[in-house]
Amino acid sequence: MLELLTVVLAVDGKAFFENPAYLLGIPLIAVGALGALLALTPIELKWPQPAPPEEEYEILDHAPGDHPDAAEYVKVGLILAVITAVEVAVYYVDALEGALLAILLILSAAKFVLVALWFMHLRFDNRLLSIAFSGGMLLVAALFVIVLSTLGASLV
Amino acid sequence: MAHAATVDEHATNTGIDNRKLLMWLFLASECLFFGGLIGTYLLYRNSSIEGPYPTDRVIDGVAYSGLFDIPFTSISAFVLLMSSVTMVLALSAIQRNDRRGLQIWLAATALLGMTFLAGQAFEFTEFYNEGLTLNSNLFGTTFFVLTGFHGAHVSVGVLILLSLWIMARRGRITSENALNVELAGLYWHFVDVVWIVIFTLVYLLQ
Amino acid sequence: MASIAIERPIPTLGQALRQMREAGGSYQGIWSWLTTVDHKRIGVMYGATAMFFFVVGGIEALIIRLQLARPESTLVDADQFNRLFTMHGTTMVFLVIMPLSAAFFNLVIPLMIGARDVAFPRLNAFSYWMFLFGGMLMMASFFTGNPAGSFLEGHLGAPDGGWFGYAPLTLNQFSPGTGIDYWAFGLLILGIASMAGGFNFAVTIINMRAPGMTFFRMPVFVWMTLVTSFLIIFAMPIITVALFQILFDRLFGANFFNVGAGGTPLLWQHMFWLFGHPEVYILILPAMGIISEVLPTFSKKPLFGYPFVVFSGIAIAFMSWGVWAHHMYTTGLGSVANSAFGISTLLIGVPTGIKVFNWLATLWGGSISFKTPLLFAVGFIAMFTIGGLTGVMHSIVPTDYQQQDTYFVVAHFHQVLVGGSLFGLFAGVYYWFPKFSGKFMSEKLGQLHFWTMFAGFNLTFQPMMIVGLMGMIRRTSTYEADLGYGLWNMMSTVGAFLIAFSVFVFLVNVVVSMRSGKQAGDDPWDGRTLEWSMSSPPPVYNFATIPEVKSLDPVWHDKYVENEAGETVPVVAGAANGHKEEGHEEEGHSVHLPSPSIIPLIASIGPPILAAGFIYWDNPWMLPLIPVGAVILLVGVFAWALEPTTE
Repeated sequence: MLELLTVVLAVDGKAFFENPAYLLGIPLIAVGALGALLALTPIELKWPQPAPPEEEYEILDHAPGDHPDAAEYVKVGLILAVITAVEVAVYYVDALEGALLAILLILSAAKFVLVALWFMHLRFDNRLLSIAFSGGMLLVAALFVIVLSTLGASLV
Repeated sequence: MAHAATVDEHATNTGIDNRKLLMWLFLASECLFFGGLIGTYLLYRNSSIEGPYPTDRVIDGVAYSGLFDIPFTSISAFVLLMSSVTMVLALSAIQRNDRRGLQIWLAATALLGMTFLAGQAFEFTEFYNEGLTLNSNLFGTTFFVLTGFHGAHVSVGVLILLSLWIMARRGRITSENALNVELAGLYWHFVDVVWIVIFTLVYLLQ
Repeated sequence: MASIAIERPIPTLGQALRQMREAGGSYQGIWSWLTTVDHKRIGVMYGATAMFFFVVGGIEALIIRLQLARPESTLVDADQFNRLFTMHGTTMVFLVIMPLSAAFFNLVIPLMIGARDVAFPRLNAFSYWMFLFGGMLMMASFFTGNPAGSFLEGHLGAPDGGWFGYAPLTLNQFSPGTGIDYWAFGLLILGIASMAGGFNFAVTIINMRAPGMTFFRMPVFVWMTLVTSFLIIFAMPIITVALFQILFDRLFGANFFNVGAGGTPLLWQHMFWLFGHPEVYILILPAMGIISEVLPTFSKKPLFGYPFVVFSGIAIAFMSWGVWAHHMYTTGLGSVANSAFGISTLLIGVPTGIKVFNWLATLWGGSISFKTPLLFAVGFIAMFTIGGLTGVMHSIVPTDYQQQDTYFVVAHFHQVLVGGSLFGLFAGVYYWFPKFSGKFMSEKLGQLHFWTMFAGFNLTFQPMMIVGLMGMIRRTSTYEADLGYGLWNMMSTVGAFLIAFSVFVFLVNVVVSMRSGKQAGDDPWDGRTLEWSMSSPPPVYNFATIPEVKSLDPVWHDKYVENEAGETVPVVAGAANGHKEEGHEEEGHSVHLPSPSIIPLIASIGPPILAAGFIYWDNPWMLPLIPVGAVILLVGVFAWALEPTTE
């Protein structure tokens, strides 16, 4: 973080904006400014809120509802890690160059689907949410395949 | 409070919480946003007239060495992917009412997110030093704007995570309002899947 | 000498904001408007602001018409003319028709589905304030955008690239000055406003319908709002990307549309029309929904073919994603793409035609009362059909090659947007005015408004069709006398002033009717949908008890039944288990409503300041506006998250 801020702040005026890191820098500077504002201001920004319950709480063994267990999430995480490793490995294997596109697209689609189905719970949630999300995905894919092909860009 | 708010008056028609539906519609909308940026990158992928280029190539007898550092970016991508795992563990913790677990996993997620951002800043700086800017060529323009907007989304995500972490430390998040964590998680996972797409289409496909 | 210290502790920010909230809760005074989260008030503010911009856009149109009334006129020069037609188009599309539709969403949707408010009341207020500030930002360009000098020296500064801002016309090289920057940032902010509204109404309609109000018991206007919301949700991000791209090109020297660096300006056209064609349906579908409510009410018949009207609306929404390139036939897409888009454009006429026939069949055999709302609705059908048919003409590629960039195209889309959208929206104003003011609008002035507008409209745009087919090029500040366009253009100009007169009549009508209109009862038109079951104007909480819906047109079915002979007869008094609300008046006061909030207003001040900072970022004195705007936005967002929604 500090590295980022120095990168952003070390350069002046015009060069600041020539350095594209400012895209990241602006939100971060804004956060910093907000923090400073809150730290320095004598005004207490505190909404009347009910006091947090002090009583002892009980940790459940399983999440209520049909959410999977933590162990299952870790398993999915491991699969994701393995897929990423395979992707990078495939990238360096010359013999697979011809099939690189197909392999990479399938693998990254697999990662995408795993995250969406398990971590984002689409597998367990109302189908309406899946429809909305996949609707957006399919729509944009279809639109830009057409745009790119009419503009003569090679898709591969 | 029987009439806490209009939204709580009666269960929703679909059974989905209003805020969750809003988040999903927002993410569906964001697909179009990132789709536009990625589509532009793909359109201009091989259109740059001048260097520097993303990969090694020889043009008119002049050799250009590529900018992309695949091992480095793979690690970044891996970091972001693992932050998705810690995020979902945070949600799982608070659903089991494990407040301490929530704090730990939220902090871990935020740290991984910041690591990713630092990596991106490092990468941007490297590229900048190699002569790649917003206006140097089409690669610079499309690459910086695409990954920059993604980075801005990650920054917003980190901010949300840190806010949640502070709330969690003050004991304001319980299993009853775990929805806050779930919504932040949805946003975070979305940012992650976008990076999965960017990593494949921008970095790995040449 | 002992002085008495009066201790008045400085309130914490939290306490101060709480006091403001309490002041806002009284529903009186300016403060209550600034802090309101009531969908009805937000709807009124949306409508009033849109009418203001309508007058501004109308004045721009009148100047354009005066310039074109005679050949070789010198009222304005070419540069000013460019800025005028750009702002006229942008204003009318983004600051008038879209927000007028949003006004009706706000006013009517929660009432129609039996909800107390929208799903996110503060987001709703945010949407309005963003719209207001986005519009103001865009208007500010008039005064500051021209590099040649200020407004006071006679230099209009407004954007000059046409409302669709084709690159490279909008790049620095061809549009120096800051006009286009204001335009792009203004559209970004308006886009956020529309998206906030789109999300809100999609969630509201999906999630907050009264018990028994299934999707196929929803009024058609609710359906069209749902469809429009989804179009907004999916279309707006694309224009957002395109606007960011043009801004990066303009402000930071990026290369998206820079041909010299290998870029293609056609990307802008694709991105713009990917958004732009769904946008066309965002403009027309709400008006179609409104007249689908007006026609049955004034014919005393249920809407003919309700499922067909609904499904054709949905079909239009889907198909609207597959027709964008028909704006780009002449860019050399190739014959395959041209044919494909030509066919899809022809096909989208089918669901539109289905709607027109269903409306006609609704009128057929009804006991029609020609009140002003129905006049506008019928005017809509006639004028929209002409507009739609000229649209079908454009879908045929060789024909379009001839018509591209002529006044025939201008006439076509005005036929759809004025004769269609605007007529429909006016029908809505006359139809729902009694509900929200408790008073009728003057029928006499209303009739005068309709007939002058109808005559003026046709006088303006039918000659434009002829002159377009004669070959008159649009976006050109003047024409030569021997081309023979003079007479037709003079007719158009006279017609434009007739429209202006009719709008004046309308505004007078609104003011007069607000002051001394005839009292309207709760159900002045013998309505069919839930909003007519409550008092006029509706109570703050809308429904004391949430109604149970048992059918389509629930209010109608409470009032009328079919007897053995199949005739519709009024329900015997006392037998109705009605949706009438009076009996529950007392109960209503115990309803807890979302508290008023100033936070949406505060949060929405941030983006325009941010935008100003970026527009002038190379000026070190203006650069600090960026962090200032960002901090205001962030403070707003944090306060928003921390503020309890109700107390």
